[in-house]
Amino acid sequence: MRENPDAEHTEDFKRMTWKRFRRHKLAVAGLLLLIVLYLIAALAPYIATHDFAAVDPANRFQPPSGEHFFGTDRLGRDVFTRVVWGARISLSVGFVAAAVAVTLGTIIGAVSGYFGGTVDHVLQRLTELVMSFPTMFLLLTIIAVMDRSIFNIMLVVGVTSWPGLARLVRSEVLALKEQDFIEAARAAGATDVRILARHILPNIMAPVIVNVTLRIAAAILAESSLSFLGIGIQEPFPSWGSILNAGRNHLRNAPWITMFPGLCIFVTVLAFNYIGDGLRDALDPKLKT
Amino acid sequence: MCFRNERSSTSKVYHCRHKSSWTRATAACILVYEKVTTEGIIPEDGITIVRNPAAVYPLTATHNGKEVAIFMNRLRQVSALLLAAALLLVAACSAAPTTPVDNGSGEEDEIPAVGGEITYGMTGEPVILNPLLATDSPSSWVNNRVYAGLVRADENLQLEPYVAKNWEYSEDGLEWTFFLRDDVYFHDGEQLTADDVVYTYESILHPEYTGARASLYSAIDEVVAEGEHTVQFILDEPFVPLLSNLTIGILPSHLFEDTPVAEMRELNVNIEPIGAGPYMFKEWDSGQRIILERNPDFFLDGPYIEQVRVRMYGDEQVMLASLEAGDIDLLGSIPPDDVDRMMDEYADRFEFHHLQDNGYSYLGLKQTDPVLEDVRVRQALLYGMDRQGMVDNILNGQGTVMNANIPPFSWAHNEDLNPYEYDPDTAVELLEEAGWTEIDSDGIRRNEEGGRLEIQVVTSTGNTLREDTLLIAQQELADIGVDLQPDFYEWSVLLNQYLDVAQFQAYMLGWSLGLDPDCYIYFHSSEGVNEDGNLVGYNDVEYSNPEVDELLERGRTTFDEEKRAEIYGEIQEILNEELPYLFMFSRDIVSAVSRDIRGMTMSNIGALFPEQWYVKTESAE
Amino acid sequence: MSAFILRRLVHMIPLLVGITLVSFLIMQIAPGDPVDLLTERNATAEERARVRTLYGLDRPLYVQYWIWLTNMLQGDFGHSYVRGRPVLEMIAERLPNTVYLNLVVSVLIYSVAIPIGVASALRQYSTFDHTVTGTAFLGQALPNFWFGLLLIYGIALRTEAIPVGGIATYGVTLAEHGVWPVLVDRIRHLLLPVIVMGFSAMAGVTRYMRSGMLEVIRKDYVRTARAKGLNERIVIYKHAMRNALLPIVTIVGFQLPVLFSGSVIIENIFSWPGLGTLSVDAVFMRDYMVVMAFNVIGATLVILGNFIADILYVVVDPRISYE
Repeated sequence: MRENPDAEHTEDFKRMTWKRFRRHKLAVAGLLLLIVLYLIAALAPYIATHDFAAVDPANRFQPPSGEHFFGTDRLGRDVFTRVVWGARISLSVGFVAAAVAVTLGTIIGAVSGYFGGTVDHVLQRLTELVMSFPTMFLLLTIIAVMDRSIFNIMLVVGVTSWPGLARLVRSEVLALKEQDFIEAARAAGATDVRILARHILPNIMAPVIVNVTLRIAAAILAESSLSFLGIGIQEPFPSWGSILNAGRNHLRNAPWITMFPGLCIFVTVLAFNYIGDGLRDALDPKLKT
Repeated sequence: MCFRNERSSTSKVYHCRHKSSWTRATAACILVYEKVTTEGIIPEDGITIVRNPAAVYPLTATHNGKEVAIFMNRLRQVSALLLAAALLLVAACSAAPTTPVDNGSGEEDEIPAVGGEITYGMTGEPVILNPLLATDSPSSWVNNRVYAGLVRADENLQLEPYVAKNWEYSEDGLEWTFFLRDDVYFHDGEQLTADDVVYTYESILHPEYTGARASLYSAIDEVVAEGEHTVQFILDEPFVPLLSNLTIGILPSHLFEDTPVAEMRELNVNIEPIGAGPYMFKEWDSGQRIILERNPDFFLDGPYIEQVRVRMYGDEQVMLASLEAGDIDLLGSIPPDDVDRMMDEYADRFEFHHLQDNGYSYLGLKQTDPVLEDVRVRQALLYGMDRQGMVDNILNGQGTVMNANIPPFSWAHNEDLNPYEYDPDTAVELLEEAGWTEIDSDGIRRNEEGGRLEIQVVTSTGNTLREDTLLIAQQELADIGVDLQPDFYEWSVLLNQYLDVAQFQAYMLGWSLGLDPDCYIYFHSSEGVNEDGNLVGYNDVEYSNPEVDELLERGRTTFDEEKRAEIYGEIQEILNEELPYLFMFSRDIVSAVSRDIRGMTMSNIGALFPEQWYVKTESAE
Repeated sequence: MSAFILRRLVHMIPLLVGITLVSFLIMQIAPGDPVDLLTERNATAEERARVRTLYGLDRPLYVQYWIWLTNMLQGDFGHSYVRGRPVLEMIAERLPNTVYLNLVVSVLIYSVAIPIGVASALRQYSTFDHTVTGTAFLGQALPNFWFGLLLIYGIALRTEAIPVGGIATYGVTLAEHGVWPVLVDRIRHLLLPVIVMGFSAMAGVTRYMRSGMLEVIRKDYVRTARAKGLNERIVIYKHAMRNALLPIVTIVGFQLPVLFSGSVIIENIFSWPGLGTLSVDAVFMRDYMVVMAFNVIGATLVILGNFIADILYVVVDPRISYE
């Protein structure tokens, strides 16, 4: 049990965590890969060799070459360029959607666990309610009937995927709020908000951080599934899912269109999952498997 | 009483389509056939041709009292026994060189036999098997087999008798009398009578009808049964295009009349339909297949194929894979980019038919928009787009550029139109003439008042062809200094916020055309926006030209086809000049038909006359 | 026990009401209007108003909701605006196919993933363990639609024995062909969708089982049992595995919505005539009643799944009482 709430913030703790994380080789590899991917996303305009929207209908379905590293798509657009820009969009969708989910999940879970009683009861029912819908049904329904802007997709993917974390946070908070240092803070006259923000949240960050990585991976997959059904990111903007979807009708004559974004999704999700695994081991040694 | 009187003075020119190259000899035969249908006799040659639709051979020719030829299945399959005689006939009436008749598969000596089964692949699932309520093409495919209408289209998209054996118009064109065959029975054994026809059309005209077809029949005032096998349509005003809408399948009134029209949609007979067509409904396995079976009591020759299975797929590519794996014998439309590969790899198993679709895509331009009201700007836009390039590239060559609203295969098509071939220089000239002379740092033109030459185009999401067209157009127009901004909206949003309220600068969609060239509801000024701001018809671009209005009115009320062709020719010329729409192109529909299926008649609206199809049998080899 | 079940059932009521409310509201918030489905595009305001009245769409929202809800309680989910068919009938003919696919996948997942997870835990850090853990990660990261398409082109098109899609060959019936041909035919059709769905879902269960097992092995009672000199087999299967299996029961409940979600995509790829293909169709056609119904039914099934998992949990875990 955590006796000193501030322990996790010491340099020592950070060093220990990093040391443990480093032992998970695949997680480190995943982290390196992600750094590269984020750099690519950030530097997309400099890395891309073409304009992502520039069409060249006379040169459609060109196989990979020195001019087009990943070939061209059905409008003669450079697939490499689109995959590079797609990194920006896909990672952003993953990140924002995960941020929405984690914020909602953490707040709802913490409030629910901390205050208990009717608040807890109501929030618990809400969590169960969202959880009981098969996510894809909800996503499909909401996004198919609404305006399919990038913003909406981020929001909806986020809003439909917080309940798991909310439950996790709630149970952590429940265990935590009976601890002495919380009692002490309360006795010292700290407000509920202050206790939640200063004493409880920092102590439940471990599972939250692990969850963030998994949520980002799940959100990237969710966006690509929506794109597959034709309701993801809309043309001419490239996300990995939308490039893949646009290439799926040409899998036979131009497999490169689907191969590269497919691999990107696969590798990115894999990297996030490994990092999540590594973080779990590092932050919470008792969970080490 | 005369038969098809609107065509009495016309003889048609038949041109080659796809693989079944019409020889001059065949054309000559058809010429005879054409004359026969109107006159019955060609006295100068001493040849009499008797038409008896009910007989096994619907057409018999006698020369000086001796039978010289019989024609089966509208001349496509001239019986080999009498081929020589037929050629004699050809020689007699046209002196054309004698060439054997090609029926498409080159095996004209085959006699269709009953038997076999075929599987048709479609993406999507039919919505409702009731021709009054269905608007989707999967449903139409099934409905066209299960139901029979008064008339139907032939391969030239002309109307021919079906349940109605013939018809006549009154002098003033306000009373149309249809004489029904007396040998038509619904699949449940009830006879199809005038009452069924009356019921079908009155349901559409009923105020509580919930389908989407009422406007096609709004000219009808009343439908009256005159005895058991005669139906009279009383019109408010002469309305020639009505005939092409009388193809709609006739419902069995005895299964519907007890239910209020408002609740028609909920009847079970829409799922297990009963019609009078060549195929009977057997079962519908939701999400999987529909099984149709041969109607042995069909009123024309055939059908021959015992069972027609319709398989449904969620994904076009998976359907293609299914065709390759041998699960499907027949596919309505192959995606353009797969055509070459399929034709290369599967030529031995399938025959591929390329036919221009009866429809086109277009960019509708708001005629009252300050930028677009100048006809020079509209023309510049069309000159600035490489439509042939789009067809060659994104359609892989499977398409035809359109310069007005009537496709080339129609009898009303006008060939002498400005082709607006890709010409950025002319486009630039026109723009400068129109005052768009300044070019901004971003390469976009401005006029003297400082207005920027930008055009917002709205369209629906999910249509790859439209997306591609707009993305290419955007780039090509940017080259001449026009900023075209495509915006994609979900279909109902597009309708509710833009099209149905006629609030847009430009939009891109496609029209699927009917059999008649009438285009009143799209271009007549009265079909635009009324005083209340509501859209009356489909003239959402608010095109208004008194001359076109007058021509459109005349086109609807003129029975003579030659005169109509002139009228619509003029309309096309004006539309081609004034461009209420930027006409883009129409797709070619490429269908794949197993080489075992014979007797098909391909047309621009799909494969026709399902009762004539048969499966090649061993004995026929 | 029955009191516990009753309590859980009562507890489900507000949840079910919530589900119907959410399903109803989503379609109300959506832009567009069901009247569009029932009229021509250029219908006049009067025509639209008439249809609106005809279908009761002019009534206040809460009235519409109440009517819909009370009809549903009597088993009437309304008629599809598009197809005119009773919604319940449309769902009833599809649901068994989805349940069938998911059931086969589930049985396969658990019967394969549990032993693999256990074996992997027992040989922690062995090559076998690394392979299993690695594969599990791959399975979780593989986009299932991509995998599905690759399988169709890579296997189905090259192998005559594997069909490209569908649930069964038409005409292969028990009455005509007997058990074996039907079984073989069913398995041929199941193979690819089950591989795709199974691979990703199995990964989770394997990892869960592995870590559960690892945790249990370190527990005192297992050590005690070992120390007592009990046969290793008995220790593993009797003491360790039974306890490690407990949390898996809860997973069954969690897994259900995941499987259902997955089958939306998988069914579309493999032309599987289930709820997934129906829902995609209905959503794109804006078939309001059907969309509302499949959300309600999908969520209700998940709740029922959780309910059963809860009861199972109580039944198998002696430590939990159900007072």
